[in-house]
Amino acid sequence: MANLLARDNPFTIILAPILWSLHFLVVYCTNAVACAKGWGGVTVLGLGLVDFTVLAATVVVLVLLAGLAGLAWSRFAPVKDARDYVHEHDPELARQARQRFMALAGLLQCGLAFVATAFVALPVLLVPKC
Amino acid sequence: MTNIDQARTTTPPPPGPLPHNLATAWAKPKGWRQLTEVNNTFIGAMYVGTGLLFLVLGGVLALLIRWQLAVPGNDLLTPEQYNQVFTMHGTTMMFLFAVPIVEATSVYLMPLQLGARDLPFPRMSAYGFWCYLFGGLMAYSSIFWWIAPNSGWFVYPPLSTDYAGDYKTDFWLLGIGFIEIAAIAQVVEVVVGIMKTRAVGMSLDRLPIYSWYVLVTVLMIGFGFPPLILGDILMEVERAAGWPFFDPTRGGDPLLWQHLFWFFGHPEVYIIFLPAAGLVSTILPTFVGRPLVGYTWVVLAAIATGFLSFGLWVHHMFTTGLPHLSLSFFSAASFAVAIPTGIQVFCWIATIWSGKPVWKVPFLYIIGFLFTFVMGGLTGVMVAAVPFDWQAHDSYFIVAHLHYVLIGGMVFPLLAALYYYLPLASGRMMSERLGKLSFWLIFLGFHATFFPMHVTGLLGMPRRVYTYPAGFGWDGLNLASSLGAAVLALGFVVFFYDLISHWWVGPKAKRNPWGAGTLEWASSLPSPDTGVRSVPRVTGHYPIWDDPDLPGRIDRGEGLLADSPHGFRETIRTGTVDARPEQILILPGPTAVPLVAGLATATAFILAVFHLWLWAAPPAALAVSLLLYWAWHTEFRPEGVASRDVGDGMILPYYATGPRSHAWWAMVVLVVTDASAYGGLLFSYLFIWTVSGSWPPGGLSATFDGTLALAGAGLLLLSVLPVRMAVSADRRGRPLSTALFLVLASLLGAAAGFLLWLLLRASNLPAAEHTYAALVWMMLLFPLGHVALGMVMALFTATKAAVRPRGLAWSHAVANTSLWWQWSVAQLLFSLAVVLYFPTLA
Amino acid sequence: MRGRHVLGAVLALAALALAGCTGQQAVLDPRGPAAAHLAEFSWLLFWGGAAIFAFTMAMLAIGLVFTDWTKRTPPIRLVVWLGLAFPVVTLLALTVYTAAVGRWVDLGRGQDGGEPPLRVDVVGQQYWWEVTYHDGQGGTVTSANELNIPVGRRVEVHLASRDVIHSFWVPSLHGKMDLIPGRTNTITIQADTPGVIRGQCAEFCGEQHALMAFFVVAHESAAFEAWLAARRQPARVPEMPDLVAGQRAFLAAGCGSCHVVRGLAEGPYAAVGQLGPDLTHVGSRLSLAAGTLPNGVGPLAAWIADAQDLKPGNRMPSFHHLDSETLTSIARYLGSLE
Repeated sequence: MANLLARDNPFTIILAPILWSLHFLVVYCTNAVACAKGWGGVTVLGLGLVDFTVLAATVVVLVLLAGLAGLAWSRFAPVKDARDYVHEHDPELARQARQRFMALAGLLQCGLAFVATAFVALPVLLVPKC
Repeated sequence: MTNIDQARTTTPPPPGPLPHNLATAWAKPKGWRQLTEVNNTFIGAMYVGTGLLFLVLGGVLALLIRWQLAVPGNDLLTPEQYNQVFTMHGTTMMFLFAVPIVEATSVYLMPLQLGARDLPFPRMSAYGFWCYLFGGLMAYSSIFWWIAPNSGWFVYPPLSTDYAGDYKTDFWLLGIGFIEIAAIAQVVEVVVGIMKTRAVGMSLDRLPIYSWYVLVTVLMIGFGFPPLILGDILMEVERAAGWPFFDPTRGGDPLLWQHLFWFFGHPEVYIIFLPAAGLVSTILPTFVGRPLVGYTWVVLAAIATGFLSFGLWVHHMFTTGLPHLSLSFFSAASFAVAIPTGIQVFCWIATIWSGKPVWKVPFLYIIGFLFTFVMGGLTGVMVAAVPFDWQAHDSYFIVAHLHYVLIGGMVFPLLAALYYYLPLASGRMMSERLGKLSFWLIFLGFHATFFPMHVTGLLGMPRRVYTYPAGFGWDGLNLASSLGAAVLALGFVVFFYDLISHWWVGPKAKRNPWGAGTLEWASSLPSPDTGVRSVPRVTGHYPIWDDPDLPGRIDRGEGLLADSPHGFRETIRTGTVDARPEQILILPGPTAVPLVAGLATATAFILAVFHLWLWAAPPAALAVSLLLYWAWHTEFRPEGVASRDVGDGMILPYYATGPRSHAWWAMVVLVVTDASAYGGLLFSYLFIWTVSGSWPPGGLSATFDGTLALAGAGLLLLSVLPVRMAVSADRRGRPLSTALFLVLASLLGAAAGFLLWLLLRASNLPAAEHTYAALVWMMLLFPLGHVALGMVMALFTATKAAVRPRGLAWSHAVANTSLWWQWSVAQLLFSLAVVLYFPTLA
Repeated sequence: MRGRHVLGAVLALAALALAGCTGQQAVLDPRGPAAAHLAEFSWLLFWGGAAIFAFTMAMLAIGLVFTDWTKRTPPIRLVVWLGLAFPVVTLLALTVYTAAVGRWVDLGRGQDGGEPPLRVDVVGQQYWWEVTYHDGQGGTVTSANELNIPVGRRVEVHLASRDVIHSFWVPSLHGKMDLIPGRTNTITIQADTPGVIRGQCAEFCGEQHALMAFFVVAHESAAFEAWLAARRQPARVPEMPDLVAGQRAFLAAGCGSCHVVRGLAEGPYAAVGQLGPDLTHVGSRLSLAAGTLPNGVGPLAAWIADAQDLKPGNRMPSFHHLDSETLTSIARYLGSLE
């Protein structure tokens, strides 16, 4: 666990959904507390508190996800199709196949987390706050 | 691809005899002593059987419900009886059938599929199983005396706390809560098992797909159950000691329970579904003769579902008047979770496209699953839409939806899996003829029962009513549902007849009868107690399809660990990512400790339901002493044998410590799980803050003595030092210093605990009078309890290190005590900071 | 047990009797603007879901039947296009549309300049509904188990609970809203046509959850005003001797310790109790005991004598000890309170 982003660290697979979870938590808690405590009138940089938080959290998370996706892509694309390696006994080739799998899994997670984050943020544009 | 066809058509030769030492090491005790066996092939099978028993018990209650509702104004059951029956139906199906059988299936199958001889903590599986069996039967039996829980499987306060009468809710809280704790034991077992005990070469990209699903599932149990267990504790404290948490007249809020309950309750649905989807992903390829399409995509879907499902809990609270935007976040997340589901469904369909189906019974059930589950998934999207749910919520539409998802999504795959996998346990095949009959009865009976309920719900019939008036168009639909239920029940009768009779009359199964590619089918049938004959090297997802000769090579002992020269039960521990062999784990043999401890624990809990505290004390004491006895005998470290050749010229050690050891990982998983419970407590504190006008609310003022707090915190921080020194002393091989440091840490912990107790006593907060006060006490008592447990662990470990028992080691105990201690201290310091400073912030 | 058989028989009868006059209780039979949107939304979701289901099953069937043809398609395309892309697009559209429906059915918002909504407070308790009307001038009128509303006007219902969680559900008018102890929720409803609509508690609330119904009676605007004006009056003073005797028996039996009858607040047996429904105009209601029995002298007498057999676990004790003459007399008196 020395390096969270190391090629062989399984955490690279779940970082994207973790980011989604954090985004969800921030977005939900902000609105819940703002409504419960009557902070509807608070504004930050000209935006309502909830709008601002959702917007900021969404932008930050989407940018991070894009970065993670780029990293995963750079590890996935250059390696030949894993199907050729999958049955390898050679430890080096087996390692490549494994890391290609982990990169692809991470990449797909980023894609799905991206969509899910956008989904969760969308209602703030459409639905009354409290 | 010709390999696959070859593997599917050849039957491996019968295996030769086992090496004597291997056979004796894994020999099952005879007679009643069989019950002391802890091997997964025995415990797993008993576990699955018990799960099926509860399916029948829950199903009988379902039939009573349908009988009562067959016609309007029926008086088969009194209102009170009906309420107990539907409560116990839901409770039994969710807590005593669905979750346990999911865990049971993984306990049974996982080692076979991973190429391990057993999971790493067999006694813990056994203890969890016995707790479940005894606790479950005792909790269920409350229905025979009509003192069963009667406020729904969701036990909403204040109905469950103030209006439910004696015992009833306590059965739910203590009986079920205790089974939840047993479920956590299996979480630790299975997570560590998947991470650490795999066949050589079974790296993450070659992990059987079922294992991915199970890994996600048990981690979800690990995150989702603890907040509910915490909720159980809060509610039981409210009922038994009068501390208000959910009582609005004393500052609490009934919605707090709903949050805690559904934070578990929604993931629960996926906890049940995902392993079933894993079974489908495993069985389907066998019947089309081609590998699963999109392995990585399915892994993606399983993991993503695990995460997203934690963003759905308010989905059950759309009608509680929460802000519309808050609801919409959950609605959006509920829509999003449909995406990984769509991916899985089309991976299965694509797999079917890529091959040619063989219409055997398991495949029929899988097609039945796809048909039913897709429908349930689509109604799930409907109810995720907030405005539609305002109508559908708590109506029969939901009853229809949830049974489509749970029976369609979980029971059908389970039945497929039973037809498919029972030859592993019995060595015989179930009947194709009866199987097809049972399938059609169950499939048609199911749809006849539950399809009409969609309409009943939209015609305005609410759930959980013991009767209904005629004339609303509900009569005919209800009668149809009841008749359908009878057909469904008949299907299950046929199924269980087949299941039981096949043990005697079923034709003997040949090896790998379905032509499967996964490792569990490499063994002879019935699968021997040793598990895999020798541990093979794996190079793909379908080892047998990759190499049709694999079963033969395993038989000839060409894999690793082909014998047991020292007579131990052994399995190989491998690296988490690359599955490189690192150590030989010595597994415990038969022992009666889990059985007796399980019985004692269950008895203690059930006596506590009746508030017979004194009577509960002896069984509780017995359970604790047995657990300590057991803990003492862990960490077997044979003298004079440090390592051995496991085959292929590979020499592996018998013992390992620190982050490489399976015990360390078990503690990490436990701490993470516990952190989730603590998160629930923190959430409760903050939630009550949001619903209170001021903080502290209602003219309460706490007087916290700053000096006491500071001294307590200082001592706590200080206590970490000797704990860490104990670890390094142990590493340098100095047991006496280790023991002394641990004792010192306990003393510091005790002193800190005492100071904080004084702080609480002097704080002038009457816990029984206001939720704020009760929460402050809870916020500190919960971590204080952790520190107390840490002290028990430290003193126990110190004793073990000082005594230095022969053939046993204590390094795992030292490392785990250190982990637990540091986590408890962190928790307590955090609680202290929140309790003292949050009010000034707020 | 005698009670069970009585219960069964009476329920069956009551069910039959009620069916005639109950109006509707169905999501797909809307009687107001919110429910109309919701019914339309339900149909949209149903047909959309049905189409997707049929398509998915068709894809499955193709894979099962045309095995040689399907083997030529690279299977992962199925996953990418149908498993991923299609749900993303569909659900995106659904998210936007769902938000729109949520606004349309929220009658409490954005009706600037229109008539202010009528306010009604509903307090749920095991197992009946207390209903309090605000006349707009600070006055209130309390009744039970019946919500009389004017047609075409928005009605803001404030929902609270005195004991456990209940849920207010009139499917033909709107979705549910919970009544939660310690909180007040609101839901704004509107009926478009005069008539009787049935509603029912939708959150499990205890032994008699099944028998906790109520009626929404929608009147033309003028008729509603007249109705409300009549309800503001205290209870009718009995003149006929048997009704006077009934009133006396009613008070003597101690009914007033749980029930209010406005106009009977004086004297040793005043009817000022707050535990049960207000009986000031009980004779004019459609049903007894929250939709359990039809109204009338016979059912009133049966209810007083056997409340615990008819609806076990409700808060009203059975007055077995009263002789039938007294029961009839009380029932006739109560029936006269219109």
